[in-house]
Amino acid sequence: MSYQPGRMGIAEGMALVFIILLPRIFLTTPANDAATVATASWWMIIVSGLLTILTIIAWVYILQQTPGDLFSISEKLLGRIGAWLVTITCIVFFFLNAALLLRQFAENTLLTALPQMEFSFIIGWYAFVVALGALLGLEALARGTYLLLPISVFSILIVLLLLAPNYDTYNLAPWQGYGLLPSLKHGIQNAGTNFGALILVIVAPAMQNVRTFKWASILGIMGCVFLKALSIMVFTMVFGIVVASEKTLPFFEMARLVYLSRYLQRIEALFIILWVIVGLLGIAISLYMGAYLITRLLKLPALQPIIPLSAYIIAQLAMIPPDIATVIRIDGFVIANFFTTSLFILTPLLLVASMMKTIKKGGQSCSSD
Amino acid sequence: MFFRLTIISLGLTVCLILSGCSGAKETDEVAYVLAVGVDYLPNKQINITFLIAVPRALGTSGSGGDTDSGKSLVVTTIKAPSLAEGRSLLGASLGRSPDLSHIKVWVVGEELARQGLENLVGPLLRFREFRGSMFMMVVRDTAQGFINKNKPSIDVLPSRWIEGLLLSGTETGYLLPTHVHEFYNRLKTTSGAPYAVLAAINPLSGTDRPSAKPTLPERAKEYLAGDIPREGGNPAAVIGTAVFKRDKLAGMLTNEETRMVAILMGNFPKGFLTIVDPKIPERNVHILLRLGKNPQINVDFVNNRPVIDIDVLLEGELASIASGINYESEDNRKLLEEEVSKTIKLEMVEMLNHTQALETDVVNFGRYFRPKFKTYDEVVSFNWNDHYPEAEIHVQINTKIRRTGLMFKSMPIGGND
Amino acid sequence: METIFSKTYKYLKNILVYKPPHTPTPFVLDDKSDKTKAKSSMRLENGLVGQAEELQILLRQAKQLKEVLEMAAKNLKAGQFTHLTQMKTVVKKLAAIKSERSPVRLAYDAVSQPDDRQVSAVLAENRALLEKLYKLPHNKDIIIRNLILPFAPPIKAILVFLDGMVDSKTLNLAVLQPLMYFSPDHVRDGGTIGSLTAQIIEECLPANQINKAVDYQSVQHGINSGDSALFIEGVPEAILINTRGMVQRGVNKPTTEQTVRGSQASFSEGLRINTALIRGTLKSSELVTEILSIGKKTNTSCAIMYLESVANPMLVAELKRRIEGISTDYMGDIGSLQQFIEDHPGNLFPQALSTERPDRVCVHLAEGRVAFILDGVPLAHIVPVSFFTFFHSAEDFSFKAIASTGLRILRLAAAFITLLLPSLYLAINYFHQEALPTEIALAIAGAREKVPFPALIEIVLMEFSFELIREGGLRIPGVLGATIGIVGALILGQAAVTANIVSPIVVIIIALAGLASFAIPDFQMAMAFRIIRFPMLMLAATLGLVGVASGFLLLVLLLCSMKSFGMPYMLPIAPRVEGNLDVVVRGPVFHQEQRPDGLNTKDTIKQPALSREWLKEKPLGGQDKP
Repeated sequence: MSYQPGRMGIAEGMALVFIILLPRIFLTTPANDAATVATASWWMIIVSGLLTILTIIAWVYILQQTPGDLFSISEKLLGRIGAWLVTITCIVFFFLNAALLLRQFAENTLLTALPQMEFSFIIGWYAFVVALGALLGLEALARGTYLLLPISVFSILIVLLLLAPNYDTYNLAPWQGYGLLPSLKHGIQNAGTNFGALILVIVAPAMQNVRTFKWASILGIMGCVFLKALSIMVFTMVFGIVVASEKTLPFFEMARLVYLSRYLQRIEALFIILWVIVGLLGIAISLYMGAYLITRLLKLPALQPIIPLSAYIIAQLAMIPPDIATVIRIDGFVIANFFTTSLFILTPLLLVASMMKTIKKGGQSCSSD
Repeated sequence: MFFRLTIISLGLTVCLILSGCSGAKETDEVAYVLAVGVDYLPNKQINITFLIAVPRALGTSGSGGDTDSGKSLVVTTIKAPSLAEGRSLLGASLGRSPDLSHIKVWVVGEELARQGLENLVGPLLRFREFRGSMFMMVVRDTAQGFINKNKPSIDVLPSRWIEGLLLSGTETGYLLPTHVHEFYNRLKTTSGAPYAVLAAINPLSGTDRPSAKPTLPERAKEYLAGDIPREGGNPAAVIGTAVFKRDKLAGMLTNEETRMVAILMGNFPKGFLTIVDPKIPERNVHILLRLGKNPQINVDFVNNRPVIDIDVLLEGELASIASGINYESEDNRKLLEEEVSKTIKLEMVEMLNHTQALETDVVNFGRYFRPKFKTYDEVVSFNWNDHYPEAEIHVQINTKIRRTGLMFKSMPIGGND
Repeated sequence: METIFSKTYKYLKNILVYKPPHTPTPFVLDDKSDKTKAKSSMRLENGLVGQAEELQILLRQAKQLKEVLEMAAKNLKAGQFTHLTQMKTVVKKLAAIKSERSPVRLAYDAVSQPDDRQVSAVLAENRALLEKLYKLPHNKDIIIRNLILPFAPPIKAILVFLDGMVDSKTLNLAVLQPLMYFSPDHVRDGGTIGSLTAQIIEECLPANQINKAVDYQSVQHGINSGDSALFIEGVPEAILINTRGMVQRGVNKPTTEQTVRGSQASFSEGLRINTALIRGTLKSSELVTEILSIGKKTNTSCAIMYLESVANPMLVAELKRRIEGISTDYMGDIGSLQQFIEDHPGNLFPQALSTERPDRVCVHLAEGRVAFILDGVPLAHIVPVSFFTFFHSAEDFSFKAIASTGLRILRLAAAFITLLLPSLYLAINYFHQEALPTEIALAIAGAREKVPFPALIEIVLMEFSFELIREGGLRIPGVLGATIGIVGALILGQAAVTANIVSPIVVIIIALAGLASFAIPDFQMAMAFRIIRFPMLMLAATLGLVGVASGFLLLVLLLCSMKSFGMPYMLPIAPRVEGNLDVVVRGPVFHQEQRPDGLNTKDTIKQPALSREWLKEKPLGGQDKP
């Protein structure tokens, strides 16, 4: 079959997980979080990350009992109907994610980098580049991500560090935000942003063993969550809650504010390269995963012909909402409702099914470690 | 297959090129605006002044080019109801599209500041061409006059001049460089008053108009911008601070008061202080001060009244002792330190009284109260700005004179008796 | 009958009438008639040639028989019966030859191509075949020398060689001299066919390499390579004697890969010289050279060299499979061979390291890679390689670790600069003027005020002229080359700036980008970066930094998807494996303990963990007393 995902090690798995969770750091999510939970936003993200790590641990158990990838596991545990439902949920997740990210990054570009460009042209160009990237295969995407990742993380950290003269740590007090319980509730609701962490479950055959999968996912999630928490912390410190909740593009505003001397100012144009690359990689991987799941589901012989088609469909989907405020609302809505619920239904369902099957078989089977 | 690929890629390339370099502007299609001044006009209009650079005079292509600053700038003033309209109307005479991304400073006239800046600054940060790292200046009199009369003597461009000036405010502590970002933040929060650096045109006549007499043991007088007795040089002067209550101009702080605010904000790398010699009152002693460590500010509630305890450590270096008395010795040094502490405390109490009278908390003590609350709503509903005038503030200044400069002893001038 | 009127008429006509000048009919390389001719020459026309051949062969045999019979008659007449016993051998030979003349064999031989024939025992047969093969008497290169071997009875022989390809001294001294001065009593005719040749080979010919050939393919191959072929009457074998002595260039200094420290030897055109150079550095018995022959008309030898105990056997097998699987007419260039066998021939980036220095080849062979050399090309190609190998120079290990690391980082930075600098300038100039400090932005704007062209046209113009200067500098004869480069660049640049055609900033940027491309050690890699620079310029001019970012991303993804002979191109970063301190940062020489992981060599340890064993021991002299 021409769409085998190839072999990947810990480093590439980690890079994949990292890059699919990272793009939202450049969008309006930090500002939304600042608006809803005020000063508790940074540890709320860590809470959502911890919940996702819990689901990964659950998946480690499932993978040890029944080796295979998401589709075959669901087939074994839930039967064909269950497998179809699970896979279709994941396909919808990946395509929605790709379309939302595409739309938001295009709006981002229109707002900051190329203000007079035609909107459909930008969406078309991004979809084209994403299709080209996805056509090169998952191995190329994973390796390219691993190559570019340290530079991206380093650049983000540089921006955060260069704002040091503007820090005001008192902006983070009181740390409970609007209250401990509402913040925790919000953290649980927002765990859906990290749905993409299940990407390694879908390409599990590419991982050498369950230990690789576990560490790749956990390291990826932890790194990404830590970076996001740091970024929101700095954002709150620099702007204060009131101003922070107003901003459409927190990272861009942060990069804008850097003013150290006559020469080190107005550097936000150089970070356009950073978020364009991260955004395009995130969209490409979401697209590839969606197409991969479709081929697995329908047992098609090849993956590559679907990609230009799905890129076109995603571009059209992305152009549907009429304005940016609606997109941000839809994004928040989709994450809080659809992504979170599917994450919290999918994993326990499969976990329970796996445990029941193990009990039926009579004790633990040999692990595939 | 190859043919199809070729056709598709050619088609895409043509699309890419035909989309028309959207938004690409050549360097000679753009006019760089360096500063914008806004003044008050009745009938809901504003007087907008644009300071535009002429690159031709600054280019270095082969010929030397004259660097007369008069030839390298163009000042245009337009009356319009809003900034956007003014910018569009500017295009009527300017052959290029104005590029506002290089704006260094916003100059706001005093009258407009008194009327309220909500209309101007509130929506300022929405448009992508305005950024938070632009400087903000309030001018006594009109912005148009300031921009027109500003003729930097050493620099070629006023943008270079203003940047150099504001970034070197840390040399003296007499001015607080303000970005629109800080102004905006203060505007939107419930603690801390917005402030902007104060500027004015000096009549260059040498007349001395201090705003207060020096209180002993201080020797220097206090000035607002434009009142310094000076002749020659650039008519523009930037010194002092304008403080706002919400969005309206409430008052102005002199240079000494600004220095006190800088000390309390922890933003005082160095500054000279001239005091009266404690032993010989006709002579002066110059001390170069800097903050020893960040000021310790402790806050508390006593009987529902906010109490603030300030503890500042200043370190000094002796710069000049006119009387020749050995202030380097142990007892004399203690005497000098006490004098300095007394001076600074007097000035600080003056400043705090002034700001409390104006009901503007420039130093932003409110943020020290934030850890005392449990949730964020409580902070918002507390509304520190209303509580500031009734706060009780205790000031404690310690000075340590650590260095004595290049001389560690002064010998008397020979033949003196 | 000539009348006065006709004469006058002719005379007037001569003077008055215009006669077009006589032009010879032009020569046209018409294809139709050629094709039929070519085809027909390959087939046998009329179908009667086969029979004609048979007749020829039979005629020759008949002549031979006639000779023998005449000799027998003479001897019988003279009454010398002893000679008749000597003729026994001759008759035996004839009997042996008769088996060659069976009708089936005759018919087969007659119609088959000369290439496929076997060496016949009849000398005249062989001579006829050789004349047919080598197009004698037109072809003056091939020489057929008649010999008589001084046996009893004397045996006729011919020596066939190509003039110019053989070393005349060797031929005269090592081949002709022993054969012709051979002492007749030395011969020991055992009677069997093979024994004569064996005796000649083992006892007579002091040449160092001798092969026996029975079919004309090998004979041709040998003669074409410079061997001399010896055909002996009555022996159905040819003896190929190694007398190769074609004039070849010696070992010179490297022209493109100069180093400050390191040997100054470079490869030459002769295959054996090159393999000898490599052997001279890797004096190990495990170094294996396999020779393959490529190309139908050129029969070029290609040598594959590897260290048997280290190189991955599957790699060697795959390389051999690919090279042997090429079927083409002409193979004279290692670059085209590379394109025949590489994984991504359409991709700009090189997938084999091309070098002209033997010491570099040896370093890579010792790490487990495989090198192949082509006869006639002074280059060796090393596979498999990763992207970072192209940024290593030959003397990287000669310097200390820190210096070398700094140089490698400089080269990588040079690659970035040459790719991105003009695009970044265009993107910032067009779309993001706020990224520049105000003074610089105004200075650039001021410098460009007088220039009539848009920035894109300026850059493309200057790029084009820079490439012209570079390409032209390659073709100018030696003495003028450097001068034209400097003069051209300086004067063009300065004049263009003064004439306000381009702004000085653009000249600086293009010069920097061009110089940076020269800092990349490998020529093909530099070429790849130079070419990719142009689409990046287009993207930057239309889409600004977004275009630059997407172009860069696609480039990185493309690089990560490439494989060079089974090894991923961006090892060891892309699939994350243990880098062996030799990728970008170069570690000290005594820490290079493992061979590169991606090669999967048989033996992965290069040196033990403590490779400086002298550290463990005490020094011989005194020590510093504390």
